[in-house]
Amino acid sequence: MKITNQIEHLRNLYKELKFEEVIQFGMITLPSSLDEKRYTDALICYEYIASAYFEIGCFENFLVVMKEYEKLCITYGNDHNKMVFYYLCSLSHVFGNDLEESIKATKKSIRYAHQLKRDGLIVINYCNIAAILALINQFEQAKIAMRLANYYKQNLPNVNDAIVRGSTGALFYLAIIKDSEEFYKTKQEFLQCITEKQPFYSKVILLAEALLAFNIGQVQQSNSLFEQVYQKIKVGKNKILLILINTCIEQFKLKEQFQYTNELEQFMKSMNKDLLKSANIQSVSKDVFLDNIQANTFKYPNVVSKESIIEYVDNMISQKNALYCIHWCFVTKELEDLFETQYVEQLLFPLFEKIYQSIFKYDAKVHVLSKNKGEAFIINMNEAELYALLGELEKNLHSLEIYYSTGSVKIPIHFGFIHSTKLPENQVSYDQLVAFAAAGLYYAKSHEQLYIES
Amino acid sequence: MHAKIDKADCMFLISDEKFNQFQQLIKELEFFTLILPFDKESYQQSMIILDIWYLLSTKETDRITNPENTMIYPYRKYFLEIVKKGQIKRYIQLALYENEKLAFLCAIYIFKEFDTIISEKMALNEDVADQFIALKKYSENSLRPYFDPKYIEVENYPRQLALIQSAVATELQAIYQKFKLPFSWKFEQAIDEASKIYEAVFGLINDWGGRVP
Repeated sequence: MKITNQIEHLRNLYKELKFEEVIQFGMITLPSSLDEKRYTDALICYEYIASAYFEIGCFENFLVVMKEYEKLCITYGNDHNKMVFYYLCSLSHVFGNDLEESIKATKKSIRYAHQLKRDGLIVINYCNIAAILALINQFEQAKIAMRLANYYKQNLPNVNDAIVRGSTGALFYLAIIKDSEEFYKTKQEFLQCITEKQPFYSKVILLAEALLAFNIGQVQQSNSLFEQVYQKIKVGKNKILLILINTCIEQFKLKEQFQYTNELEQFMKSMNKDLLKSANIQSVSKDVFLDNIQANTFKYPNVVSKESIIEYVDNMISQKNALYCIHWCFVTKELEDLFETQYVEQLLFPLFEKIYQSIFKYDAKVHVLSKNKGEAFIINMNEAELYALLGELEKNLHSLEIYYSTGSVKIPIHFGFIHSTKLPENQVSYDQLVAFAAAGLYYAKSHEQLYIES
Repeated sequence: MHAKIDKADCMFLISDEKFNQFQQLIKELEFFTLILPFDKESYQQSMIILDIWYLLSTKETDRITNPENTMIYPYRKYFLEIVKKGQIKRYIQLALYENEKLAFLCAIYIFKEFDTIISEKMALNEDVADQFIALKKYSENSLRPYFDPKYIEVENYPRQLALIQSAVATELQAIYQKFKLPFSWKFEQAIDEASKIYEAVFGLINDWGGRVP
């Protein structure tokens, strides 16, 4: 009960924009949630602490918290946690200057938001992604995103936290596409929404105005606005906004006019450059939430996510490398009837390891399909080597028996495989190879064979 | 959504041009596909959406069913049969023939609504629920390789898979017979939602599929 109240208090503090207090109070609630193994509450604490660090512009701490948040989210995160995590992750990538990763993360956050019917986060994400897409000149997609944001906004009450947060993204989007009329209309609506919170948001609004001024050719005005923002934020050292200003000053070649160039350069030198490489947060590219591979990724770097394996196979095919696709499957139905799923997974884990030990003697990449299924792609392997490998795996794994107090149960293994040269050249693709390997596995399984020769 | 799909798996004999158009739409309208849940993302999902898109955007006289695929994919065949029975307002139907984007959005929303209702109803029948889950496990890839002639020596056809598909397809027919009305509402709701979101993003729909000036 105590923690529930604390979380509620945290939520209220955040709504009132008392970010310093959110951090202080969150840092008290977080350890007690973790001590009591209340991971759902701990995840909410991380969400608020990370968001608060972001709002006050403390980029280093934001990233540190995000890394911890990610770890807990992988193990205990529900769809809501993942939705928020990906949203914050997308912000970190924007400031780490990895816009492609930011776009990927935003799309994932949107999907979770759709699943949970959270129109608020859909709106915020669409506004943000519109700004990012406009920044990389994908104006058509940006326009669609912005219109979708407006569409989902209809479902929200007029004064809403999501509208406030989304408005900043919308302002940047409109500034980039030089739509002054819509910019000032949105700004007015934004100001009406935030009323007493205006001083906090004034810096972001000024920054967006500076961007708009530059884009519509008012360079002097733009420079003066950048200077005003700089003056406002240099006291509080909002590093996130400082990074933004620095990026703009550099890109717009305003260094000579901008009177704080030296100070800003000093600040940027003092920043830990490595931290800015937000690739530290790996969930986006490796997609650990969607693939149950986390444990093995560390021990076996060639055990990769689906996204990575598709990319790898596409590369190999485009480089005209011939490769084997192998699927395997342990039949665990009997085992699952006897034992609980977690125990079955524990039993299977060393068996997967045995497979890796044999397969990684070759140039292979592996992707885990489910707790009892996997796929491997191996290059530079001839037919004799394949059969040698299957023989080795058969020796180590075929019809393993698990003994328990009143008997024993077998865990048969089956394989399906295809070599890329067996398919017409124009049809070789990840999907085709996988489909044929899966079909081979199907026949091996239904005929209780180790594999079916094709 | 899977962009790398094989046109040979479509329930219709589809031209390269039309197929490329669909693949282009997957990229162009990616944001609209984000309403599809992660766990439903699969090769077969994309294929069903292609089937529905082609069905909506092509006049009946111009559609040629792929006979081979009606045998390989009986579940998809019946899914499509249900979609065919949906009522569409005349001006939307006319627009669908002209406007591939609108047809794409309608296909996404119809798939989402139907898949939800079918999954709910399948779960109610214990005997078929397991078969339905088993069939979903095959949805990651094309099923054509299972029917490849090289396996004839092993088995005439993939018997186990065929039994699962047949059980699920039969249940789907029974579900539709029992819940015709909810299916019809869901269909209308899907077309409505898709049209609304289309108009919000691309402009008003008129009966030749373009924007109202």
